[in-house]
Amino acid sequence: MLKTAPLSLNFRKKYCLLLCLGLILNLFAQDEEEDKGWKKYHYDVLGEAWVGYLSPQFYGDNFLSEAFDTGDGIIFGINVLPSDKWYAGAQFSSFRGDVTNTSLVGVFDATRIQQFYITGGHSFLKQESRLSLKGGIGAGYVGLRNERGFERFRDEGFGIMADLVVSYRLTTFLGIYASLQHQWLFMDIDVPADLRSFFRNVTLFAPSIGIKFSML
Amino acid sequence: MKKFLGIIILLTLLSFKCEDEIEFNDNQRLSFRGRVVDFNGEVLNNIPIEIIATRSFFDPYFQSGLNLEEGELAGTGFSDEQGNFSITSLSPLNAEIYAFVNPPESRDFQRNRTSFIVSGIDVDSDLRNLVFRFPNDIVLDRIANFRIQINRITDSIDTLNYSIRYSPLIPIENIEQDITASDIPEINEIGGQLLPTETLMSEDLEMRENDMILFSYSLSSDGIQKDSTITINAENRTFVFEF
Repeated sequence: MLKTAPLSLNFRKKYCLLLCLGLILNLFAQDEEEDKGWKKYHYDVLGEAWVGYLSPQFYGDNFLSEAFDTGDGIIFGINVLPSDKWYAGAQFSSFRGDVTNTSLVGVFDATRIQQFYITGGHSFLKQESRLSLKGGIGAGYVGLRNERGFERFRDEGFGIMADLVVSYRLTTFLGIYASLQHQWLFMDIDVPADLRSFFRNVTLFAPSIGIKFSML
Repeated sequence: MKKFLGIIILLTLLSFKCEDEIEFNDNQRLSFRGRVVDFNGEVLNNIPIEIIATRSFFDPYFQSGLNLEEGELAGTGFSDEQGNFSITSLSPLNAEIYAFVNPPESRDFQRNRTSFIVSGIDVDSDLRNLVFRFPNDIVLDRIANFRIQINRITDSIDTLNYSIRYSPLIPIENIEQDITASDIPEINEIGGQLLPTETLMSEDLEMRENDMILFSYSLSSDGIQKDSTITINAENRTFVFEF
């Protein structure tokens, strides 16, 4: 007989958070639905800002995948839309990882991974639509702020990413989005030759969901 | 005024604390590799290895001759099924490294085995490729409980002076050039006397199995020293000396 595993506390928390977010945004949406002139007034978006919940998933044979238990984090950014089809922007993300295998990376407790990317991309749907589909790329700085008691030291590198973002505008200014990023991190860590690939080439998926603010 | 005084005291304390702390290099890791075997060349798995960064040096008050209490653990791991280990460690700034195999302070210390230290590893000169390879297999002997018993079987009223020399349980291989061999205890020695009023004495010691120990003795009346060597093995755990 199949047993149903109880929902973990973490999952319940995320589920409740999403439900609340949906309800709040739906209230805004109800007012906006009454506006019959949506297409007339709402297409000319100059910029957007967004903030979301990030759940990075490292994979492959690299130190962040094999020796860390990474947690969820925050991601936020801005985009400027100079034309109907193209955008450019910047994003910042931050999340934490606890060391689980000290023999692979050295003895320290945890790290905070911070990324700053310059991004750009293409919008596949017209702005007058409530639904938006964007694909982009980015490149930027990756820093690991390693914690060892009260001591700190850093590992640094750069990263590139490609993403696909679906968003839906609930009101003139407010929308929701879901994004899937794939990132390649190239760390600048000095290690013996046979460990270079393990420490220098890191891959991850970084899905995120959140809210988006449009600036007209 | 009191507030300022408090801040000054706090800053002073912090500055002392910062001086003592060992810092680690950004963007760098080191690797320590080797193989652990027993006396017969059989591989030993699951042996803990610790890489310790420290500024403290040899200290005769410590059994191993090293004061590692001030050290910072920079790397840790275990030997695998083939006895091999490859441990990644942080890279200390302005500190030396000691590689400690089967350290007694380790939670996973193999109590029935000896330990081994390579001391004085310098990051700049000994780790040019960021790798330190132990030049030979690291041999960890079994530890045996050995009893030495001295019986007086004559009516002599002489005093017997004796000493026992044996290998330390934590041998140190020092690769630092500016420390002389005399700083490192290469041999352990204990000694004592059997007074005319005593007829029996025994000493229980932890020693390395397969170790050769040197038992030296002399009588106070003639002062001539005589030596006797004893090999410790699985069958021979007690030495009885009668005079």
